Amino acid sequence: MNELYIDLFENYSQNKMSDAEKSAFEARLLSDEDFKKEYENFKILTAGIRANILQEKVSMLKAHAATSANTSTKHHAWHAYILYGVLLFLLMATLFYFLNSKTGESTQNTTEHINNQIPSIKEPQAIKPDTVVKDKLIPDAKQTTPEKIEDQPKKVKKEIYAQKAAKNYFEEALSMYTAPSNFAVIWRDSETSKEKIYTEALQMYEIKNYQNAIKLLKGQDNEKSAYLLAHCLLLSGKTKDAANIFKEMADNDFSSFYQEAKWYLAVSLLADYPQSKIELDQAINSLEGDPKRKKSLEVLKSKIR
Amino acid sequence: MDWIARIKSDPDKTLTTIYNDFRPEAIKWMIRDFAVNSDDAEEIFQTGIVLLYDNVITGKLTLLSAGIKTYLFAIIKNKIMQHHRVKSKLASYDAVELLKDTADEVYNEVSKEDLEKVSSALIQLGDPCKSLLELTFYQQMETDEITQLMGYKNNDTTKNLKYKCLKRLQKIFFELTNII
Repeated sequence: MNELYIDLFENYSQNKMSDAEKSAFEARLLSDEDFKKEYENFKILTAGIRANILQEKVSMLKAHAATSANTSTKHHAWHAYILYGVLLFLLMATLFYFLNSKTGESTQNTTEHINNQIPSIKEPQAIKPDTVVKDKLIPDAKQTTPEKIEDQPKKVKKEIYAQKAAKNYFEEALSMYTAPSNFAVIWRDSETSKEKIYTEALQMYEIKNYQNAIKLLKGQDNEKSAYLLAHCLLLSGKTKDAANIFKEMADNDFSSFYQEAKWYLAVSLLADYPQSKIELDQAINSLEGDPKRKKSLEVLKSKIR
Repeated sequence: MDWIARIKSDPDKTLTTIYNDFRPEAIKWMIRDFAVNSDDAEEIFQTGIVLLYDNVITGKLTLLSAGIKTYLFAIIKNKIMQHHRVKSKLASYDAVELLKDTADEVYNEVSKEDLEKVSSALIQLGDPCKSLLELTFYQQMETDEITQLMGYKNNDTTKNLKYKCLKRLQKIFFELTNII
C-alpha cells in the first residue's frame, strides 16, 4: 500500500477532505481499479482494527462480570472462615488456660530451659543500596591476601590483574552512565496495573535498590518496563543481560527507546570490554552522527584506546 | 468530569463503573418489559455499553443532553428491537454483529472471515504497532498527541511508523488469506 494512498484513505474515511477533494477521490474510485482495490483493502484493515477493539471491550466486561460473581461468592465464604477461626481460637484459649492452671511451676521451668537452648541470632549485615556487585567478579577471599600482588604466584597474579581490569571497565561504564530523560513515560488508560508496578520499580531505581526493582520488573511484558529493567541490570552489574535488552531495542526502529537504547547498549558493552570489543565497535559506529551523543561518544572512545 | 470525558480518559475503568451502576436495573427492565431471558439480557447489556463507548470514541456522541442512563438504555432498547425482529440467537461477541451495530455503512460489505483474519494479524503484529494503528485509525488521534503518548522522537517518526505498521498488518493479512 502506497504511503500517499494511506494519507488519502485516512483523510477520506475521517471526513477531513473538502467537497472538491471528496468528489475527486470518489471519481478516482470509479475510474481507477487499482486505487479502488487498495481502498477496499484499507477498509477491511480499519474495520478489523475497530471490530477487534470492540471485541476486546466486550471480553473485558465479560471478565469483569465473572470476577464480580467470584468475589461475591468468596466474600460469603470468608465470613464463614472468620467465624470458624474465632470459634477455634476461643476453644484453644480455653483449653490452654485449663492446661496452664494445672501445670503451674513446671511450665515456667520448661520455658526457661528452652530459652537457654536458642542460640543468639546475629544481625545480618545491612547491604547498602548503592553497593554494586559485578556478577562474575567477586574474588574468593582466600585468593586475595593482604600480601603484595608482586609476591603472588604467576597464575594468581594474572587473575588478580584481570579482575582489576574487568572491574575497572565496569567502573568506567558507570562513570559514563546518566539517568535517561524518558523514564517518565505515559501509560495508556488500559494499563493501570502495569503502570503501578512500573512506578514502584522506578522508585526502587531512584533509591538505587536495583535488585528489588529487577524482581518487580522481570516478567512484565511491556517495553517501558523492559527498558527500566535494562537500566537496573546495568547498574547492578548484570551488564550482559542489560546489553541484550538494549540491543533488541536498538535493532528495532519501532521501539520508543530506539535512539536511547543505542547509547546504553554501548555503555553496557563497555563494562564487558575487551571481551565485547566487536559488539562495542558496532555500537559506536551506530552512534556516529548523533549530535546529542557526540561529546559522550568521544569520552567513551578514549576509554578503550 | 463528565461521562464522555471519563470514557475517553479511562475507558476500561469507566465502562466497568457503568456496568456496575446500571446492571441490576437494566437486566430487570429487559426481563420485565421486553420478555428477554437473563442470558440474552446480559449479552445485550454488555454490547450496549461497548456501543456507547464506540459512539464516544468515533465522535458520534459528543454531548449527553439526557444523561448516560437514558442514552445507554436507548441503545439497549434498539438492540432488543433488532433481536425480536430477526428472532435469532444473539451473537453480540461476533465481530460482524458488533460492526453492524455501529451503523457505519462503509463496513457493510466486510466479511466475518476477513475481520477474523485482521484480528489474527493484529495479534501477530503486536505492540507497539497495534496500539499505534488503534490510536490512528480508530481513536483518530492527532499525530502530535500520538507522538507524545508513544514517546516517539517527532511527528515524522510517528508517520513513518504508521505507514510501516499498516503495511506490515496488510502483509500478515495477505499471508493469512493465502494460507486459508
